[in-house]
Amino acid sequence: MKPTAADAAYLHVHPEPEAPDAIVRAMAGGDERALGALYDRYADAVHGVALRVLRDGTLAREVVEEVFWQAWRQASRWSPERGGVSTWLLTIARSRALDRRRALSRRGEESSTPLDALPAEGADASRAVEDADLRRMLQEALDTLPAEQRDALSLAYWEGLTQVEIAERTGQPLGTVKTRMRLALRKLRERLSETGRTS
Amino acid sequence: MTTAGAMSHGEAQEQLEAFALDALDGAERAVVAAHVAGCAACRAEVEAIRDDLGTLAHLAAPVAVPADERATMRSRLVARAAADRSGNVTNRMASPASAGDRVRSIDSAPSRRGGGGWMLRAAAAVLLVVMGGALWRTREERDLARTALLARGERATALERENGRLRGELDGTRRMVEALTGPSVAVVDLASDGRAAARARMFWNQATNRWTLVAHNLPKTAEGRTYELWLLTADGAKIPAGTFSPDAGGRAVVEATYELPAASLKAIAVTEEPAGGVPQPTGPIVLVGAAR
Repeated sequence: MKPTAADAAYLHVHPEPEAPDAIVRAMAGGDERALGALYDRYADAVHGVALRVLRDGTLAREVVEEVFWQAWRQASRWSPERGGVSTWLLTIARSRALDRRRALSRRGEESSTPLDALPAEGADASRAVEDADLRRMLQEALDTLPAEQRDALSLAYWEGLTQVEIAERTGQPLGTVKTRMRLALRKLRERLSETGRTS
Repeated sequence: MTTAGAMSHGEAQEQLEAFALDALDGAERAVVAAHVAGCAACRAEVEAIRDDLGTLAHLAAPVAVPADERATMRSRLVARAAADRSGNVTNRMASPASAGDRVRSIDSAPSRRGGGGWMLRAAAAVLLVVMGGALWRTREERDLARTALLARGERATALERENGRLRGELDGTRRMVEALTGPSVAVVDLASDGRAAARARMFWNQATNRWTLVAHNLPKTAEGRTYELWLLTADGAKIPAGTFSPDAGGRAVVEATYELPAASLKAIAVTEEPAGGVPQPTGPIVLVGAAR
């Protein structure tokens, strides 16, 4: 659904749209205030993903800014068929964070600082419950996997390791790692489609 | 698994999950990517897997961005977006019907639509706005790049300075090791005269005429006062060899160069004097030691 001039005009007159879809449409229409609204809503979530991958607060905050800038530049590429706005943003967040992590490991600058996590404050109550529900559902789905499959998936997903790297890290044969990865993803996807996905 | 030539569809399907996860290594990834590029079914599947994987990202709980950083980051983003209109100008210009016609008319010959002069001017105006926006964006990005480069340059300069300082320290340490060791180094122990804890040791390298005093547990000097080192010779001369203050731990290292015949040294002393030192000792003796 491409933004029309009418949409943009409407959003200019009626500021601060609530629905994420509308926020991104407004961004695609060039409304910089919509970027602010997107940031208000998702900065902490993006930060959480970046921290999970990078384990370094300073780096994570740099990635947060990169992610929202990319979202601004690519707002017109998003559409509802592509899944929810949060999924879109968090996917960008994971990609940018992994890129940064790989760049650091190439330069031999792996961070080993412990997570300086702060609890998220200020998220409105309804959304916090929604997020927690989704997280719980995902965690339950993950918990149905055998530990080795879950670990292989986690190493690939959160640390960006390849199958060869996972085999080296865990001391398992490459063939075993490949099988585990395949099974893990298939089972997870089945489970997710059963329980239904929210965005 | 084929190594040469294209991968079969069946083989590729086995690898699609890992491919979507970016968990394939170099050569394997290239082979699968080549198949996916030419296979609509696999492409669709990869996209579906990536959508599912995207959901997993929600597993990471939100973590608050610190409040002050959050505010400045937000304003930076919004300001940058406001300046970055040209990225969206063509979208906005294209959607309203009339502007779209004008943009299209840049390509088509004005005479086809009639009223050529007016169309040409309008087209030129649109082009100028679009180009101006593009230039503005370029300049803004250039400024940002310049700021980043300056910051990097400053850091490089600071690192150079630190490197220079460390080299200086290393040279100093090397000199000290030379001064303290070797066959021609004589050692004089100094002890406190009443201030029980204070003590010192003088290393006299007679080959280089370099004197190094290392003192411990020296009390901090009072305001306007300092310690002064003296070389006392056999014929009664008291040679000033420098002033110093201990660090927070009561430690001091003093270095001086003075040529003295080996047999001439009778004793070494440290006194407390007015800041800046005096040509001959006036204050109380803090440390003293006799040369053998």
